[in-house]
Amino acid sequence: MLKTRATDEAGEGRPGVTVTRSAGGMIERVREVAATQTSAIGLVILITITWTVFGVAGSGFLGSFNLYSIGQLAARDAVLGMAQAMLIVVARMNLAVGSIGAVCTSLLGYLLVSAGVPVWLAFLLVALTGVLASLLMGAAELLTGLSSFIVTLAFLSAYAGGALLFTSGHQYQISSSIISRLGNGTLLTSAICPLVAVAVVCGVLCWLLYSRNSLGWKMLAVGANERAARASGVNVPRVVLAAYALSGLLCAVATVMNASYELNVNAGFGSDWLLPSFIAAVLGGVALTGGEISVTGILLAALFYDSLQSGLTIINVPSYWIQLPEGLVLLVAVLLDRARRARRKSMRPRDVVASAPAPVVVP
Amino acid sequence: MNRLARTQWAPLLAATVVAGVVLSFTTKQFGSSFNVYTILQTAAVYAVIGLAQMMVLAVADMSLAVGGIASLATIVTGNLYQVQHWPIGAAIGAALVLGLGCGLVNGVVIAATGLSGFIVTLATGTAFTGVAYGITSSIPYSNIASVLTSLGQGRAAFFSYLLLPAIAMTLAVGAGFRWLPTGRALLAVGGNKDAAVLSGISQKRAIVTAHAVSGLLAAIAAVLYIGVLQSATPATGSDWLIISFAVPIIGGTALVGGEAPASGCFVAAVVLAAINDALIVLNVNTEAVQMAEGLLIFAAVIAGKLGQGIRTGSGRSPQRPGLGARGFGKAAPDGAAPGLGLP
Amino acid sequence: MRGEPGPGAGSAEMVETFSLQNIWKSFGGVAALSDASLQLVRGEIHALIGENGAGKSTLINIATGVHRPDRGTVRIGGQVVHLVSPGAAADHGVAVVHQERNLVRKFSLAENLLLGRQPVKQGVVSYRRMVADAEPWLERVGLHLDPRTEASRLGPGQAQLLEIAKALMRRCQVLLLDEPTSSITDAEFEHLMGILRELRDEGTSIVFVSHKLEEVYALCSRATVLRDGRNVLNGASLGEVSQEDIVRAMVGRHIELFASGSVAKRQTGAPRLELRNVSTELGHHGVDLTVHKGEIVGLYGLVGAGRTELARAIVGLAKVTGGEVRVDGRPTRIRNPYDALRHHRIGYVSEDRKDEGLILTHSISRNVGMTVWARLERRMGWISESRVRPHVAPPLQRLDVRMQRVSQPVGSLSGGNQQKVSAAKWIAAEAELLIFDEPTVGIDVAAKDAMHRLIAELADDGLAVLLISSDLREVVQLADRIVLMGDFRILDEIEGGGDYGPVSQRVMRAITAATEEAEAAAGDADGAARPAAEAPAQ
Repeated sequence: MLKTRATDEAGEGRPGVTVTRSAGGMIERVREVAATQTSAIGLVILITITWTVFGVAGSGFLGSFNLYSIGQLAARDAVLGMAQAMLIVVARMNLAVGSIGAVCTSLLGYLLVSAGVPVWLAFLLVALTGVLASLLMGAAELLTGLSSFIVTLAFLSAYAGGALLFTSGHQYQISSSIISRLGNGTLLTSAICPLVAVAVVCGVLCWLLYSRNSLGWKMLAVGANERAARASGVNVPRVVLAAYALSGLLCAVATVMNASYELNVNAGFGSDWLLPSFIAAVLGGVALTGGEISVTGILLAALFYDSLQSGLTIINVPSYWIQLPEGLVLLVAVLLDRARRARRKSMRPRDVVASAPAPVVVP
Repeated sequence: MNRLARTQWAPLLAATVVAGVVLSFTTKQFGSSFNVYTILQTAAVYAVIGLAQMMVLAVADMSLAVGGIASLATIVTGNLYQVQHWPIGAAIGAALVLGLGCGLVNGVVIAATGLSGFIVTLATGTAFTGVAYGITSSIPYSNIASVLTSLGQGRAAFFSYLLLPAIAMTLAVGAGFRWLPTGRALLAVGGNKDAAVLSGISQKRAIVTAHAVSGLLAAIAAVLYIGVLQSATPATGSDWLIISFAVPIIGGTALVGGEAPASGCFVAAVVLAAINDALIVLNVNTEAVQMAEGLLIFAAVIAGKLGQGIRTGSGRSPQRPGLGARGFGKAAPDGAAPGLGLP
Repeated sequence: MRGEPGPGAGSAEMVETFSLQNIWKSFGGVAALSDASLQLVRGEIHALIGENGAGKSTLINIATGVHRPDRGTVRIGGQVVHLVSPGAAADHGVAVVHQERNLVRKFSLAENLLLGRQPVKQGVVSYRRMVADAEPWLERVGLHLDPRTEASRLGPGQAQLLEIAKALMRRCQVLLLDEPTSSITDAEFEHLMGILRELRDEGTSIVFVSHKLEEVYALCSRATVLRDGRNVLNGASLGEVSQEDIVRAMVGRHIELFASGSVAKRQTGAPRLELRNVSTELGHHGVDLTVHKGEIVGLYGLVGAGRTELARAIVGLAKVTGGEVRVDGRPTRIRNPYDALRHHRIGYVSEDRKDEGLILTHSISRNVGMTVWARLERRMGWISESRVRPHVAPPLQRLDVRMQRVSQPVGSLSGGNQQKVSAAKWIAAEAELLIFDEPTVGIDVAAKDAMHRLIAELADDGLAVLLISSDLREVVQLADRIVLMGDFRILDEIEGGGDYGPVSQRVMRAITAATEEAEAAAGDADGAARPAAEAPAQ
């Protein structure tokens, strides 16, 4: 139940609150839960189908080596999806996820290889850089009042160029054993990459943020109706900046994850991150209009996306055809999301109380 | 002349010309006729790419599929000519029709679902590129028709022949917005959706038209670029995203729609190409060019916003635009902005 | 009809051109119109009057095909018609000029007039013919400007005229003007009046919606007054009813909700909020206002007086540009609602429930809790629903919100219950000064009653309350003091809490006096303003 949409976390009305209780209410509740979980349920079904089909059609799909590499990629994509979702939740977007990744990758390579900084310090500095790079965009948005699209587009270009400039096209061969064990070691079984644990931890933290933290709640409120949130005393600029900071932090995490299995890194990293970040978020059921998030959905969507890619490779679809399904998956995802929302809207009871039987006061 | 001075790109152009003159005196290379030709060659392609994006910006939408359509158009031209042995004219024709068709698909999906152009074209653009890579197995076509090569590489002194189609397209798009009822309808929808709809103009038709023409222009840009590169590769278009926005925005196209300064687009293309070239001539790292582009977009948008503020007599409106304007929805109409009263 | 003055005292030449008869319309169970009617005869200017939420806009929307009536008939020239869309209404010659201007700012005046039907010669837009076609219509409404002028250069009044020209060009028989004068100068109004009179004389029927009674009297021959979706006056001849009668009809007597009527005089405490000579970016000047603890101050005025705007400035949604704001006696600056809530415990129940009051897609508990999260969170912002619920439940209970669960989306509640949730938010926040902005517009009678009780109780508990309402009855009965506003300044102050009759008399007198004063001032300004307005002609 990692779906957070401010209508969850239900529980019946407290004693003393006037509650209209009817059999219809319970059914309504069940329907409501089912409706909010459709994307997660749908993804589980999709993943099952994918695994079954490719498990039968392609040899080695369900083998531990393949599952390992699916997990490796899906873990990074899930974190990218969360990085994107942080801003989608507040009704904005981050086109610069990849460029922040490029900046962080360059810095990580430089610190570890050229500067010989200890790993923990490198991680810290990279995280800080990710946060600052993203915060700068947030500040630019708030100061200029421009849309996040154009602000992050401009920074996309500036950061990518800056990273290339910084490294002068240098390749860094990371030799730290901690990092290589993170990306290429195993966890519990030989089929699980430790990065999966990183993604799950990020997921749990995100879920805690949106279900148990007032910042997450405020982010949802700002995304759903910025004016109302502002009028209710939410400090909107601060919340927006926090969303940018978190997005940057997750980009930095994704950078470390990516570097940990590639090891040989350069400033070109991140140039292809935009699409997976949107696929994981949108397919996972994050409302593009803001105010809604599903962390489970993001994790599952990343898993589905990378399973599909891996499966296509396994059944010998040439690698140059892989990009087509990527685009189609996103297109289908947004169309399904649209249809789902339209249906939920029509299902929503109009004036429940007006048509409900006489209220019963629960003592 | 007065009107020229008031346009947003005028100061930028002036600065570029001054810088250009200075550079051509300080460095031997910059002012050389070959170098100017290189700048204009690049500028010609940039201009058409920018026009493709401007079409959709005019109706307050956007397209991330310009590059994807270009990739596909490039491949289709190359494939039909080299593999299927079509005459080059027919191959180009097919590529342009395909570009139009891709744009049409974008437009129809957006109009039918009411989704934002951003997310739809992000998806379709990837899919188009994917098809291009699939068809070619990532291998570029190297047999390029001599027509395209001589167009792409041909020059008379500093005048790149590519400028001819680019100027023609600029004039055509400019004239279309100025003189065709459809062009006026697009601008009306972009300028004030409600007013347009109340006057019986179909918003959906405007969106579909804008995307279709945008697709056609993307395909034209692709065909021109084949001659420049002398190769038809699916990688064409992969780095067009920033340029496609930078050119129209620096050229003075408002993101909120309702404006389509084609000539501004052309000037911005020349300016960008010149800056690009100057940085290389000055031995600044190529990567700095990319950085500069990002910062330029930003500067242009802010300049445009400040200009708007001065023109409407109010700085920032007390209410920021709705969420839609900053995020995924359609941009809010600006019909409510206060008038000036005549001086 | 209902024993009120019938349509213009039986003159034979009056031909009915357009009528809305016995219209009923409700939205989500709340009746917006119950048996409302409007009859127009050929060549008249007919005033449509009513306070906020009286049903004017709904009636106009039905006349122009935006909404369809639940019951009742629309007739044009005696024929029953079904206006299924704005287009259909336009085809029947019904045109409307809205408050918000529907102009494409980058287009010329001529092109705006001919939008969607630009003259085309050989497939190409003919600007020459466009200008020629537009010119007479611009002349017709007295816009002596080059038709090639960009529409963004028009002032509000001129834009209004352009809209009228657009309507005329489409050969309208019935022209509805929705508050055309809310943002134009007096000179522009004079001009507009001239044009409308000419149109009337040519046989167009005009509906003039306005809150400014002096304008209504200057221009209109008959008036229809709506209150609570019903006709209070139906086409009364303005020669026979006085301005005061109209105001009384508008404000009227509601059902006796507060049967007890006489609220015991409250003990008011120290000043909670003081405004001294405050001016704002929205146009207020020299506003002095004090709200004490345990006191309800009613802020009354006609629509457009600047009351909501003042409230927005107080909570920091608009900028205070001059003067001094004191909270609990200390001078302060409130920059945003966060400041207002966090540092001064000031809450604002917005009139714009859907866009500013509530997040409709979120749950009741999240909506109500929004104001208390900051107070309840542990370190690092950790919080839980179970921690919030004890603070959310009591206000919901106190207001008797009819709901199934607190986790239910607010959007699924009825209007009245939504309004209660909007108020509950600020009770949960334990605000010490609450501003209620039109708290009872568009909600049902029972919810209204609950809101009234709540407001009175809050003041009894020692809260300072600023009540903005267009319902004079509500203000007189609830408020300890009534502050009258007009034209973005304070006009007068009256003791409240007394009997409705005498207090309402005094309010009426004060407002009428202020209006006359304004009229006199306008007369002086007229000479000065006119040349300025006509300057662009050359």
